[in-house]
Amino acid sequence: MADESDGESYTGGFFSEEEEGREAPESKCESLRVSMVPVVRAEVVGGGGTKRVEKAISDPDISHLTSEDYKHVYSPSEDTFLMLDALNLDAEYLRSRFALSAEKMKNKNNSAQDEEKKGEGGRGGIVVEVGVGSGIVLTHIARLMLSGYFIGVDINPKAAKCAYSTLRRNKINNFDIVSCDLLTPFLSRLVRCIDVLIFNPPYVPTPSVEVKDNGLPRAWAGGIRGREVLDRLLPFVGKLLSAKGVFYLVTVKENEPKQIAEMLSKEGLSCETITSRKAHNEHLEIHRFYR
Amino acid sequence: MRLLTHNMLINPMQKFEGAYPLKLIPKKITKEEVKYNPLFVVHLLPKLNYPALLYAASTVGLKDLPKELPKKIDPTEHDELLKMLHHVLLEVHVEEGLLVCPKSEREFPIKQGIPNMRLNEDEV
Repeated sequence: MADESDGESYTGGFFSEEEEGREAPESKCESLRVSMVPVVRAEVVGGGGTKRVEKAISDPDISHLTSEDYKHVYSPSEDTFLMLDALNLDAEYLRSRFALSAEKMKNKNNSAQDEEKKGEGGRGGIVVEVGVGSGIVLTHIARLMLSGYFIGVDINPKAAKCAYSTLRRNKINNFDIVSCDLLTPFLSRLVRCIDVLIFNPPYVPTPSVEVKDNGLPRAWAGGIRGREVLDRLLPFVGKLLSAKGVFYLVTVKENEPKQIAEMLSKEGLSCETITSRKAHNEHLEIHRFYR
Repeated sequence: MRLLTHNMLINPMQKFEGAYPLKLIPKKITKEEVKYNPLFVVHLLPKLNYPALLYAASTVGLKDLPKELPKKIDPTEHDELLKMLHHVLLEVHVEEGLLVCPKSEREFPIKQGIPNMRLNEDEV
C-alpha cells in the first residue's frame, strides 16, 4: 500500500516484481512529480523540514525514452527523483562552491563589463556520475551548474546510449559518456580531480549472484546489505575528490549509511543528509559527503 | 569522445594500468561549438597530462598547440592559448574510432561517440 501520509499514490510501474522480501524499486508516474513544471517558490521537503526553493528548475526532458528503452535501462524512479530534489536543494551550495562570483574577480584595471564576461558561467567543475542510466541526473546537474564537464559512466551499453541521447536532447554539450565498470578506466588519472561525484548505486539487498546479472536487475541488485557494488567504489572516493570535491550518494537503511559515513570520515569527509523519503518499504536518503 | 576524456582514460585492466596514453585512432570526427569558459579551462590545466593532449590533438589534425604550457596562466594574457585549449579539449568529438592500449594492443572501440571500456570475463 502506498504511504498515504505524503499525499501521493503510486500507480506502480514497469518493475513491480516481488521476490521473497525483495522488491524492485517502484516506478513513479511522471504526473505525480512535484517539480515537473517550472515554478517560482516551490516548496520542497528538505532535511529538517520544509525549505522554500526560490525557483525550482524543471526536471530534464526524458520523453524520448520509450518502454522499449526501459526494458534495458533503469526507469527514473523514487530514488532518481529524490536525487534530483537533493540537487535542487543543494543548488546554491554547489554554485558558491564551484563558481567565482563577479565581485571576487574585481580588478581595478578591468571594466565591470570585462568582469561580468570573465565570471560568466563561473568556474564550474569536473562532474562524474557513476551509473548514469537514463542520464536524467547528470543532465539535471549540468543544467544547475552550467559550466564544467560532465562525465557519465555505465556498464550497461544501452544505458550509455540512452544517457547520451538524454543529454543531447536537453541541449547539454559539455559532456561525455563512457561505458565501463565503475571508474576503472579513470582511477589513476582522476585522483584529486573530481569536483562532484554522484552515485545512485544498485542498493537493494539481494543474493550476491544477482549483482553480476547482465540485464536490468544489475541496476538495482546490490548483493549483501545492498553494498557489494558501492563497496567497490568507496575505497577510491577520498582519493578521487578534489580539495572542494563533494560526493552525492543514495542509500537505503539496509546499506547502513552510518557505517558508510564512518568509512568516509576516515578520508576526511563529512556527511550531510540532504533529504530523505520513506516509500513503501524503502527508507531512502541522499547524503552529501564533502571535505 | 572528447579529447579531455581521452586525457583521463587508461586501460582498466589492472596489470596494464601504467600504459598511458591510449593510442587514439579516430575514424569519424565532428566539431561542435561549446560555450567558452576561460575560468574552467584554467581550472582544468593542472589536471591535464599535456604531452598526452598534444598527442591526441595531433591524431585529429590539430598541431597548433605550443610544445609546453607557460608556467603561470593568466586568463587575460593567455586568452588565445586558452581558446585553443578549449577547442582541443571540448569541441572535437571522436564519434567513431579506436582506443588502443600501448602495452597490450587491446582495442577499445568508440562507437556513436561512446568509448567501450568494458572488459571481457576472462580479462577481469
